[in-house]
Formats: sequence, C-alpha cells, structure tokens
Amino acid sequence: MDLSEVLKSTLLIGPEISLIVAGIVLMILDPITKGEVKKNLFWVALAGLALGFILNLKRFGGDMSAFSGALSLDQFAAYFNVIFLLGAAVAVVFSKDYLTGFLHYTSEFYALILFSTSGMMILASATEFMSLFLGFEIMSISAYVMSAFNRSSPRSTEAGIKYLVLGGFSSAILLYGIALLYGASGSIYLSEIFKNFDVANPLFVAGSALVLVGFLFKIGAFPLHQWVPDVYEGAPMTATAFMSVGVKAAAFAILLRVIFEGFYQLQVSIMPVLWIVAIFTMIVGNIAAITQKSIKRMLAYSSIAHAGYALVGVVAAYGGKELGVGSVIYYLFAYTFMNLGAFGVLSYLSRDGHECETFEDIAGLWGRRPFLALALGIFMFSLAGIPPTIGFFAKYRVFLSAVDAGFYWLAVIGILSSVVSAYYYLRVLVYAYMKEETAAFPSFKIGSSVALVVLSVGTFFLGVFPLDSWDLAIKAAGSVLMAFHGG
Amino acid sequence: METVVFYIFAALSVAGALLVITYNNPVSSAVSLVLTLFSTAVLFVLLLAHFVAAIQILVYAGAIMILFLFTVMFLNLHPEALRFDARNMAFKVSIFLVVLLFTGYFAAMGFNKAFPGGGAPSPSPEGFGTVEGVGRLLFTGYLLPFELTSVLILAAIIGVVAIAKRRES
Repeated sequence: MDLSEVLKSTLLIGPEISLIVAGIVLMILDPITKGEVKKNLFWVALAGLALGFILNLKRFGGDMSAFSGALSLDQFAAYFNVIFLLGAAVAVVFSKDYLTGFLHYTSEFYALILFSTSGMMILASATEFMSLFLGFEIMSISAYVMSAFNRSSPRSTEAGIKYLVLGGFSSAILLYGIALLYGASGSIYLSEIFKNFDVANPLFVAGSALVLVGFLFKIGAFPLHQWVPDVYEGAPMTATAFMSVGVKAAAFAILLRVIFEGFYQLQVSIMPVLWIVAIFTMIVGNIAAITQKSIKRMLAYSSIAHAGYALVGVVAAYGGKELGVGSVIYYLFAYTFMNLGAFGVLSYLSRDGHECETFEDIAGLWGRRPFLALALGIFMFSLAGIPPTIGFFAKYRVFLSAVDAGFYWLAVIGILSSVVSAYYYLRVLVYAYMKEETAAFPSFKIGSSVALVVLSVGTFFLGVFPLDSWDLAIKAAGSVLMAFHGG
Repeated sequence: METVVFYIFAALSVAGALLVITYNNPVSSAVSLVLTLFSTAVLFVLLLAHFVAAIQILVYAGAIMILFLFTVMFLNLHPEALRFDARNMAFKVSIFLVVLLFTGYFAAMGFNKAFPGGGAPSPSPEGFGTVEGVGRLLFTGYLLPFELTSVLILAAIIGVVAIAKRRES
C-alpha cells in the first residue's frame, strides 16, 4: 500500500475520523474552559456527530473499500452508521440534562460516547479481523467505563465490573476464534477465509463457532444474556440507552457480515443453532420481563426479547435472502427510535442521582406531564408492536420474512411471545395514566424535550409512511450479500 | 536439533500454563506465567523472529508481569480463600461438559480427521519477525489497525481517569 492509497483511504473514512477528532477536541477543551462554556461542550460532540452523519450520506451512493480491503464502506455499513450516529446524538442530548447536577466529568462521558460510536462504525464496515477486533474493543471498553460512570452508586460500579469481566471473556473467545481461522486459512481477510473455507477442517468450524459466540454475547442472546439485566439496570440511564441500541446493532451488523461474507458454507450448521437461540431468547426475555418490579430492569429483559426478534430475521436470511437481512437491519433501525425514546422518558424523569426506575416513579404522569405521557405511550405501543407505529412494521417485516423463508414455527413463537410482551409494556401505561402520583416530577428540560419529540414523531410517522427507510434497508442487505451471490 | 528444542519448550509452555491455574498462591501463579511466556519467546526465536521474541520478553514477561504482581499485592488475597475444591459443583459440571464436547467432536470427525494438517510447513515470508519486517508491515499493510490501537488506548486512558480521578466537590 503506497502513500497515495493511504491518503485516499484516509479521506474515505471521514465519518469515523470526525468522531475521533471531536472526542479529542472535547478532551482538550474540557480543562481550559469553565462555568457556562464547560456546560455547553456537548455541542462539540453533536457537531462531530453531525459532520459524521453528513459525510456518511455519501456512502449510500455506492460501495467502496478502503485500506486495501480492510474496510468495506458499503451501503450496509452506511445504514448501520445512521443507527449508531442517531443513537449517539440522542444519548448525548439526554446525557446533557441527565448528568448535570449529579455526575462530574460530563465531557469524558461525551468523549466516550464518540469513541464508542467510532468503534461501532469500524466494526460495521470491517472485513478484516484485526480491524474488526479493534473496533469491537474500542466500542466495548468505552461501554464498560460508561456503565461504571456513576461512582457514588455501588450498583453502577457492580455493573461496570461485571460487564468488564464478562465482556473480557467474550473478547477472548472471539480472539481465539480469529486465531484459529487465521491458522486454518493463513489470512485475516474475510474474503480469503470465504475462499478457503473448508467444512471438513475442524479448525474452520471451531474458529467460526468461537467467533459467533463472541458476537452473540454482545447481542445478549440466550444463553449468554445473563449479564444484560444487571448491567443495564446498574448503568446510568443514558449509558443504558446508548448501549442497548448501539452495541446491539453493531454486534448484529458484524454477525450478518461475518456469516454472509466469511463462512456462509457453514450456514447449514449455523442456522439451526441460531434458530434455537432465537426461540429461547424471545421466550426467556419476555417471560422474565413480566415479573420485574423496576421499569429499567424490565426494559433490559425486553431488549433481550427484541434481540430474539432480530435473530428471527437472521435465521430467515438463510440462503442469502435479501428480505431476511433487510428485515434485521430495519428492525434495529426501528428499535433505535422506540427504545431510545423509552429510556429517554425515564432519564427525563430522573434527577439529582435519583433514577426513575420503579413503576411508582411514573405514577400519575398523565396528570402532570401530559406530553411526556403521550410520548411514553407511543414508545410503549411501538415496543409492543401495535400499529400504526414503526415497531409494528418492523416486527411485521421480520415475521413475514420468516414465513417467506419457510420458518413457520419461528414466526408463530415470535408472534405469541410478542403478544405476551404487550402485558408488561401496557402495565407501564396503566401506572402512567391511571394511578395517582406519588413522586414529584422534575421541571422542563429543553434538550431532552426536543429529542423526545423527534423520536416520537419518528416512531409514529415512519410507522405510517416507511418512506425510503425500508427500501434503503433492502439495498443495504443487497450490498452485504454481494459476496454471497458471487458479485 | 531444532525439533528437539521445539518440543522441550512447547512442553514447558504448556506446563507453565497448567501451573498457573493449579497453584493456590497467586504470586506463584504469576511467576509460572513467566515460564510460559519465556518458552513462547524461545519458539519465536526458532522461527527466526528475533524482534517478536525480544518484545515478548520485554513487554509480557517484564512489564505485564510486574503489573500482575502489583495487583496481586494490592488485593491482599488470602491463599486459603483461593483453595481449589474438587467437590465444587461448577467444577464437576465443567468437567462433564469438556468430556461431552471432546467425545462429540471425535465421534463426529473421526480420529484421523480430528487432527488435520501435518505436511511441510510453509516457509516464513522474508523479514518475518525482524525489526524491519514488523516495522514495514505496521506502516503499510496494517496501518489502519495500528492507528486504531492508538484510539483504543486513548479511550481506555480517558475511561480510567474518569473513573479513578478524585471527585471535586
């Protein structure tokens, strides 16, 4: 690789670079500013994310690769980048209101969000295992720190340590798998592994199994989901919001890419495993969510269930079906809106270190903050998959693609478990609309309000008019399946 | 000659790894790890990768090991609390699972296929593991991972400072 190619590649990864630079600028500005200026440093983070978003739009134009094929800057990655950037921007805005008053070092929090997001973007476009692993670690290490950010809370510290130790194990398993694949194929490029893949060679089989386990851990799929409730419950609210959409979507992105660009020959063995995993993830997530007394913990279990629905789409992509891959991408897009919104309402209602997490905390919301209650209603309806919200259409696409691919039982169990989920989502609304208030509500917060309006309008509007978001998801699916279909 | 040296040090590195997990005393475990790391370094020398071997000893057997020992000392662990207990349920379950995994593996693959490979090893590329070879790769083929590593370390440093810094109040 000569100098001109390095320069060309560097220009191509503008979105990633703008996030990293914004993070560094934040860390330089933080110690030299004071008072009001310091409180408004989150604009730097938002500017970096906006620049990244604009530069990322160019990638929808066509598929490119950078650094001699180490990164594939295709529409698939571009679509996921939109999810990451949206999640990060909303998390920054919520954090501004949420962190002020009880957590110091807010700039560090924003910087970690930016770094984590850049790691996700690298991960979603990586086609070479070394960059893939580094993106994975940049994303994860920032997330570990963010979960432990509230030092005055023992639960937050516990969440951080638990996530660090278990996440470290999953990274080690992933790395072991990569080492075996490298040993078997002599290359760390997905395309080379794809070419040399030999199902009869146990090194390939064991390597790909270990790699998949590493990703399934980050997704929070059964039986690797045990860390999710503890970490999501203990972490600061906005960190949970950010992790539950960003980290999950990134892990799905790389799971799809690795399956269809790396070891598709193993599909016959991988898909039955994912079939079982998807079913148990849906069932376990939904059943456990019913019994929870804390909304935050309930949403953690619900995020496990949603990972299960998205896995249904992965299984439905068996044989390289665009509909299946597209439905996973679209599902994660929809989940970003509704889940960020649900956590956003909770972070709005938290103040001075008191997390709004029990059902009593939101009792009587309709009487005191009708618009907030309305937004919460839209998000809960969407999470439950009730039309005409984006959550309904996303679920409809996933189950339709499962039926289309002939996985009837998967669709039936998915629909049944999503009916069960309506119980615990609507229970939130029963408290918000029909109970007497027991706690005081915080005053108006401008930033969070704007973000909540955007999210709730998006949840509702995209449900009625999916516009281009669905077509773009199908196109994105096409670009990741190119290698599979011999393009 | 080379083959003999290889087998001696390969065996030593496995033995060291076993000692790490069987010692009750964490300090002994950490020192056994040095044996493993040193033996691996010798294997690198056999591949004529002198630079990698030197780095292996400097970074892992040197710097990382000091960090391990420091952490062990700070934690002030009592060896009694770490005593291995074979009646432990988790231990029994894991032994069962390991046996199950390997029986299933050999049953599915057949003994001959289970250990693939053999054949002549492919020759190492020119300049493999020397300062020049590693340096060239770092700034050409692996430029992106090299730069990403710096971002990773930066994120980790910021995180550590944010968590460990004394609170202003």
